[in-house]
Amino acid sequence: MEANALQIILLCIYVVIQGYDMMNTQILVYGYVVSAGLFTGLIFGDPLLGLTIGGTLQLMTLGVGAYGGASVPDYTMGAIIGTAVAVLTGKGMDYGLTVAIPVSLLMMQLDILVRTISVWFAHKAEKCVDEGNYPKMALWIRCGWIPWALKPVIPVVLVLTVGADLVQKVLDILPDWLMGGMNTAGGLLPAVGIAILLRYMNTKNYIAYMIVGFVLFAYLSVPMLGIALFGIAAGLINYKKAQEQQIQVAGAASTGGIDDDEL
Amino acid sequence: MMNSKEPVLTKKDVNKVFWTWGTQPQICWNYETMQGSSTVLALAPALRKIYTDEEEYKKVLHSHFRFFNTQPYMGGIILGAALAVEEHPGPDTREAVSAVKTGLMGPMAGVGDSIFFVIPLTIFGAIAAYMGLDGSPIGVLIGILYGIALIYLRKLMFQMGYKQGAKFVTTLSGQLKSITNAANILGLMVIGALIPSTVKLTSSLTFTTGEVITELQSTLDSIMPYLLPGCFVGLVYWLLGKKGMTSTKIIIIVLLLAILGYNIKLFS
Repeated sequence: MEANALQIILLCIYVVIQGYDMMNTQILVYGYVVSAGLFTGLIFGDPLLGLTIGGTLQLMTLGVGAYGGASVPDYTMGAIIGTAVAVLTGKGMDYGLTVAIPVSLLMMQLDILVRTISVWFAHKAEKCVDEGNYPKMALWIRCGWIPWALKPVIPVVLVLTVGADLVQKVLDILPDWLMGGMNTAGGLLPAVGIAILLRYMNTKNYIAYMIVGFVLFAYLSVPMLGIALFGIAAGLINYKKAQEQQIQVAGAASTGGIDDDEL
Repeated sequence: MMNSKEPVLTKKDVNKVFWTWGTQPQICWNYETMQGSSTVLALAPALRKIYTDEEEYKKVLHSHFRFFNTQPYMGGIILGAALAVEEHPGPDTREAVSAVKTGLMGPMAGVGDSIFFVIPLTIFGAIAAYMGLDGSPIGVLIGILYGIALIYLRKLMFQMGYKQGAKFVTTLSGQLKSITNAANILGLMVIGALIPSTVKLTSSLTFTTGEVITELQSTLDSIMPYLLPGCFVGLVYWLLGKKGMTSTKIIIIVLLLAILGYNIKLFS
């Protein structure tokens, strides 16, 4: 049995909405893999099978999540493709799951690509600020979703029109020099954002605290909240000292301001 | 220092910031500035009302395009607070807003990820999964209802941030400079920890001397853990200070460096 056009369109609409919600509105995220299986099952006429595949994959996700922008295997997409293929081929859940796994891996590669491409949209948007064209700026920011929207649509269309074997073939074709390089780039690019932020902040005067933060994480593996508490403590000490100085030098005007380094 | 005390934003303007952020917090999520452009999207209409001077407004928008990343629900608190500080512009506002955003994003992400993500996703995920395996969609429905109920909480959190931020600038305006410095300290400490935790760079290079194989990474680790991410941020920071250097050029350099480094087996 093949998927009909209506089913493919419906599924594409669903994956775009689901992907959007996962990142943005975050309303359907509680139990998201099961619901993905259920909705796909409804589209293809076997919600029960969808629930089972979704449930199995959801249990695999427990404890594994995408936090702070990390790329992890996409079990939601696995549930969607797995359910669609299982219903269409009639080969049941086990076959659906075997197809689901390469799809999850392909999605992980696409995820890195998408998160890199959207840098370009953010730059386009910021350029509009200098032109004074603010509606265009907002539009470019929103267009940043285009690669995100295409991400789940690509595997859905590929699998449902050409066939499930294609996903494995695509994974085989992707050259390692490019995908491995992009993977490394994904780890490096946050350094650019962080360095720009450092240029923006009063780094020169307070670099000592940055070193402390680094050491607390790198050497002592203190969790982020613990490091923040250290930061609050250091901030409080500094604040108290400044207050005392203000009393001593009453009336002295405060000077200083942000370092305007050219970017 | 005097900060003007008249609020210029109506309740509608403030609510609009919440709804834009609440529905599009990661619409242009990217490796470089992460949620930076979404904060611009959410704040821009309100900032336009606050900053009537064109050049000033542009400067403010640029400052919000910078790196920002936190748990989206908790981000509402931070954006609410930042908006309140923006609403009373003074000489230190730019520094104060950057410090508030940077200082809060790390700890808020840590707290938010565990209370709004890890824990409820595990609980509701498990309920939905086990009910689903029994063929019942009720678990999915429970999760959806929880997600809808949380919208109210997210709005409360945003309003709390806005109220506290306003209190911060109006009652403590005389001490804004020292508070900003304190927030800067917190912010830099968070960035110090973000470097090893978000920048991922290790080397896969090995040296063979006779029978002995030495891994470069373990040598580096014995000097200092996360030496490479630290050096790399330093390098980018230094490059940014070069004349004629733009962030676009840096990104292209980093991409090429990553592909090259991976293929000569220097980076893994």
